[in-house]
Amino acid sequence: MDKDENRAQPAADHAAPLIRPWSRLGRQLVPLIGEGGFVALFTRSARLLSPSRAWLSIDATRRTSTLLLSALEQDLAAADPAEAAATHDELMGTFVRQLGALIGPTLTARLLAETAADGTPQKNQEEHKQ
Amino acid sequence: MSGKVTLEKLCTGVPGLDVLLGGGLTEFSFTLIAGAPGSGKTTLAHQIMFSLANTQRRALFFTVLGEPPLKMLRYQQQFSFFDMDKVGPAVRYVNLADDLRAGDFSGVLERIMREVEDFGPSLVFVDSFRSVVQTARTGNEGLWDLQHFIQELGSRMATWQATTFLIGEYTQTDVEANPIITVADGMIALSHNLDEDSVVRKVRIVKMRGQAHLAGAHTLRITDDGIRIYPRVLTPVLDAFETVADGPRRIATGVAGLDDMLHGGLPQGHTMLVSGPTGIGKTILGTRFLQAGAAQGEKGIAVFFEKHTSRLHNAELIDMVKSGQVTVLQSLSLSLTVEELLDQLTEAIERTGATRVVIDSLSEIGLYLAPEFRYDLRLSVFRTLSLLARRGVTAIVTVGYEDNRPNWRFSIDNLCFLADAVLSMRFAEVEGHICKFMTVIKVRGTSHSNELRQYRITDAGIEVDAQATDLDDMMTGYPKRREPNK
Repeated sequence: MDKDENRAQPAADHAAPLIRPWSRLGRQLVPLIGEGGFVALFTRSARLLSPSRAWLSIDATRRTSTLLLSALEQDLAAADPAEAAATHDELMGTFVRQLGALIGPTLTARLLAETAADGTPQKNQEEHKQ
Repeated sequence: MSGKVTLEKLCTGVPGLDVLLGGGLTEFSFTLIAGAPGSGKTTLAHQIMFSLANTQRRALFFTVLGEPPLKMLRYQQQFSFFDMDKVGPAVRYVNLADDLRAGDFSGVLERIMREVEDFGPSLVFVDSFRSVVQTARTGNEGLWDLQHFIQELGSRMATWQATTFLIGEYTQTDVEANPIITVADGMIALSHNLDEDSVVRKVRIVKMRGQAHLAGAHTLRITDDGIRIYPRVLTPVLDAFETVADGPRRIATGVAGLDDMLHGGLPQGHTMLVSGPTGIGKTILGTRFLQAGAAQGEKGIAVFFEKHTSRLHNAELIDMVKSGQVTVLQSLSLSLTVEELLDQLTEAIERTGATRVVIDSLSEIGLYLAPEFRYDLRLSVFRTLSLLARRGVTAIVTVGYEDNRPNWRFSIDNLCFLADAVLSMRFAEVEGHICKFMTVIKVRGTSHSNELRQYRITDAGIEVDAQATDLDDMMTGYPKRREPNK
């Protein structure tokens, strides 16, 4: 996933900063819950958003976090910047809620707090806590 | 100085496990936790991990293809030992599923080493190790790969000075021919066997290098607090009851005539088996015993296997329960283990400070016990009575049976040999009436009456005649009035 953040593929400027929190989240969670766990949570979250965000592509053949986040970046780049930002927030919130529903808000907060341990602020963790 | 290396022992934090291990788990050892699915392997590993892990002694928990990590975290955090604050600084989880799927053992080993070098753990867990084994190629080459992998892992973790646990779904027959057991320093086997619809969980230390462990299978329970193991050893005697210089204190039974026959009451810490057919007054005697204690401010415990509290037909007992003088213990489980019973008794004795216990009755206890404890009822009762005696609690235990005259028996399954005192209560037909008689068969360590006395159950309780009955041949079933001059 690291290479996602330095992708050579052209993307709209507004997509890159939106995808960085996802990359950090992936780096934190994939070692813990595996690619399978991350993909399942992400796909479920995207499906929950799909009725109102039909442009968000969902493809069951994407079996790695790299493929998922690459597709997400392309989707966000193709969308209106405001719509992309709102979708990112909603998707992240849904993802964190899904994780929290499985392992509880306390452990979720603790695991996501470790994401911030690399020095990058994790505003989403607090924003989306229920 | 001998110059021998000292094996440091780690306290596992699992009640009872350190006793089985011979004092704790050897530091830097390589232990296999084996058992069938649902036997408690992951819970045992987590309980040990959260007990031992801190910021100075970190733990790394590798999940492979066994229980999905999200589910494992979801369920393990339900236990009281799961300390959220330790997750992160003291406990780290790493999933190896992708590494195992992608490559061979060497790739997995290198990933484990990378994580170990990064986090610097003193404790390493791999769950489930069976997943790794199943990935082994078939044939000698696969076996060699696996053995090499395990040996490498074992030696690298020992060199790293990490105490390591491999958690795997193995049965006893699996491991006997498995290279893992050869390499491992220790093996803790968990099982849960079905017997007549009852399941009793067991743990066995199959192997533990360098220390004398307790062999054999021991019962375990999984509760909200995690695993608790019950080593098959008796609890130590409390100092206060170890020696009795002037003879034991006498405990009033609540039946004056019986105290007279006991030459002053029941010695403290004694268990008296009260045996007799249905309707003879065993429960009433037990109630009087508790009432006598309550009158002196003593707390009591009533363990019932016959009646539910709400169905007690005994107003005196209900009053004592309502006032808090007596605690009623009863089981809703029909797969009761002796350990559960002992746990309940211990907890109630410690909580209430009870000095008197009535168990009513041993005839019905078998209906509640899981089969293996029912098969060996004598051992189950022995362990229960031992607990009471070692705590200095005085007890009345009832046992009922069909009174098939002229046979004279005192209990079922030779239980009378386990009691310190035996009181036999019998019916006899006398001049058109069914009358009640009692006699003290034995009291260990003290004299007692050998008279057969008639008694009546009245509103005042049990009224025992002051003298022996004037009927002879009572035990033959055909009593006859003694002639006045004899």
